[in-house]
Amino acid sequence: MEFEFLPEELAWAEQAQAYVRQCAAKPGVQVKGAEATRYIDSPERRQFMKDLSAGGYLGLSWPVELGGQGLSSRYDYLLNEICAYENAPAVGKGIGIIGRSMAKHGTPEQKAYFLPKILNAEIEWAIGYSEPDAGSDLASLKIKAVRDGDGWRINGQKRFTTSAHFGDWYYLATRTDASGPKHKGITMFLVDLHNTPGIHITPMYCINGERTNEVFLDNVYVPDSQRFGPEGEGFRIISEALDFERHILFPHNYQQRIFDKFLAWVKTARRDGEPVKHDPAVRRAVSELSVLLETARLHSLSVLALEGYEAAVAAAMTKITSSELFQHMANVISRVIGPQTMLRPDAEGELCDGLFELIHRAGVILTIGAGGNEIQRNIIARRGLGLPNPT
Amino acid sequence: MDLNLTDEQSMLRDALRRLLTNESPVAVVRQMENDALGFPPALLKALAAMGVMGLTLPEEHGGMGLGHIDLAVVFEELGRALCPVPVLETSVLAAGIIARAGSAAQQAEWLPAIAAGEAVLTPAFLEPEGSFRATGIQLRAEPVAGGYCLNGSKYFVGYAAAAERLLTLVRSGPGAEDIDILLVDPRAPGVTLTRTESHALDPRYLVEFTDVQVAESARIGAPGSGWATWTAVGFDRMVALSAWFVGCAARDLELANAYAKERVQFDRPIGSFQAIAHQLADAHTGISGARYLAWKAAWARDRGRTDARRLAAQAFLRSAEAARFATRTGQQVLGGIGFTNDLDVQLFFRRAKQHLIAWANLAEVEDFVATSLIDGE
Repeated sequence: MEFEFLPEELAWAEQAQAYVRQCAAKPGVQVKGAEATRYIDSPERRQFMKDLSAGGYLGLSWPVELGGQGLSSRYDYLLNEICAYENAPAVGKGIGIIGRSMAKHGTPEQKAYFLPKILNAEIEWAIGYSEPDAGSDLASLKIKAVRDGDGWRINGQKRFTTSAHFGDWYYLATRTDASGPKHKGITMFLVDLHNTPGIHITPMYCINGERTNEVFLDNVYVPDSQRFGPEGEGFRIISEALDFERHILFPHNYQQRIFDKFLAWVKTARRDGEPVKHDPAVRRAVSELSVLLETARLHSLSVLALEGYEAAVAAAMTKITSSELFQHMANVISRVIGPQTMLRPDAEGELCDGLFELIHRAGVILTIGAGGNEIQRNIIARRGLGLPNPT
Repeated sequence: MDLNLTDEQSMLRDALRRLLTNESPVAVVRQMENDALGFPPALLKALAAMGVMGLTLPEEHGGMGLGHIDLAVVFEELGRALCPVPVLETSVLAAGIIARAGSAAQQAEWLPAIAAGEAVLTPAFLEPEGSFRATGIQLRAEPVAGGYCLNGSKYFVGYAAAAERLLTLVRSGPGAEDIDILLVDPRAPGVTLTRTESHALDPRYLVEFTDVQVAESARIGAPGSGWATWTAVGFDRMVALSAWFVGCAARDLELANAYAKERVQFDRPIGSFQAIAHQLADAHTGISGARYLAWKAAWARDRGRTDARRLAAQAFLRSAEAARFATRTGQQVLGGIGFTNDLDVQLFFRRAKQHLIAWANLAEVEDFVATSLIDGE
């Protein structure tokens, strides 16, 4: 048993951290209290990704023959945690979900066109999974794609496509067969968001300050060469992609960063003429949060250390633990520090760039997105405990 | 990074689980409730034969010389079985204190006997006020010619009637540096034992000392070193107990999970209802995280890392809570039938509760964690 990374991994991580910190320090990369925004939604943040690419930090665990570095997934994990801690944008969906899926299911032409662009940070992706009537029950998605000559006609609506308004390509799940079991009739497409007629994007603004979108596809034509993977295999491709990036989905270093800022406050702040660190309620908060944080860290490491269904169960545990810690942390910190934590970023008198206010809003989505925590508990019950399908 | 047990550790776990399944089934746990000794002597011998009683003791004293991850493996199994043997009291605490601070003569006298399962020794630290701090040690040790004269009382002393010696924390002055640990024979004149019935129904005693004469040679370590020794071994106790909580909780969850699969209400197994399944899932998550934390604390201890004490305290806090949650969930899922003495979940429920109250003041453990993080470790 060994809880530490290898010396060469740690040495690499130290260099990576210095590099990320330096690139993230350029204007416009770090957004205030940016737990809200991990996305590459501005030229400055695009440049950050290009910097990562130039530094050799994209495609770490991709096979060498695809232009990657052939390193173990621990390097992805370390980089992801570093970006989280440094308040830098996260390495995007192209490197994780789409590139990996493409290596397996893409046509030679798709691979030749997209993989180098992904590695060079030239493409940002929008992912079109959710719909108004397909959230947790993703397999019930309805947006319709039907054959039309050498291609397909797509009609319908997506919702919560966060990157649609700045992304370049759309990784789109559609319904091509409604006659059989619902998870068997789904097909994936790659859609050019800049040059395809019939795509209408309308914003939805969220309580964390982020923009997401509704996307309406009105008789959108897509050539068959942009179908991704076999017809009807979309749900399998989506599910499989979870295996590729389970270990980087829920970094705990956002929470570590928040905790460290809270601890810095505890060490230095005074109230009523006394250092707050002498207050038993403050000390109890430090202890409680540190225990939960250490636990979340170990859950996330266990995802990295395990394989197969055990990793799937560990990932569900990690998601629950870290997302609920995030919300709990926001509550505990507010209770301890008080009204200052209700001041938003940029408000006069705010603390830590308004971070302690923002996390109340940013935390809400964490127990909902990427498989709601109820879904995660179902996974643990069914796959971890062998209970019957929960209803 | 590797969160797996070694092959040797897996073999140790499997062998111990087999032994405890055969020799320490719940029927034995039930028999030992209110038993005068509180443990089956043959079971103590069997554990000693496997090396459990001397697990982390040096080989020259008859021990196995293993580390604290091995200790965590062993204590998870002891917790699963609710094994009614004073391994924590005798092997981790008494032997730990003697190995750490005892004289060569004390080590030669007691460590091989403990490792062989021939002697039970148990610590006597708590007093009726219930303080876990140095100030809680009030039992008076007057220096007299050649030794000490003891007056005062200890309570919650486990297995005192079976013990060859009580490792008694005593005070000869006002400060923490006036505390010593003395090896006291519970049959010595002036010592009286009164069995006190506890929540877990394990053997606990009120021990009263009236003008008890103890020789200076019975002191463990230099004069005034008792509290430092006791504190140091306290972190090993937290590592062992963390793993014990994990085992206790994991076995209780297995019982509740099996019941949820077979118990039918509203025409379906109750485990198919999310209201039940999600409680079990949360118990499972809690146990899994607590296990990794217990292992990490053990690993840090073996590596001599500076954060080892904080991790032990954190592991103790997390695993105690996980065990409390899992055993409470067990009671809830088993419903009315689980409330009867006939079912086994109540055995786990009561022991989990008692262990998290009787071995430490949780608020003080929390405060220790806070100190480590605020002031450095």
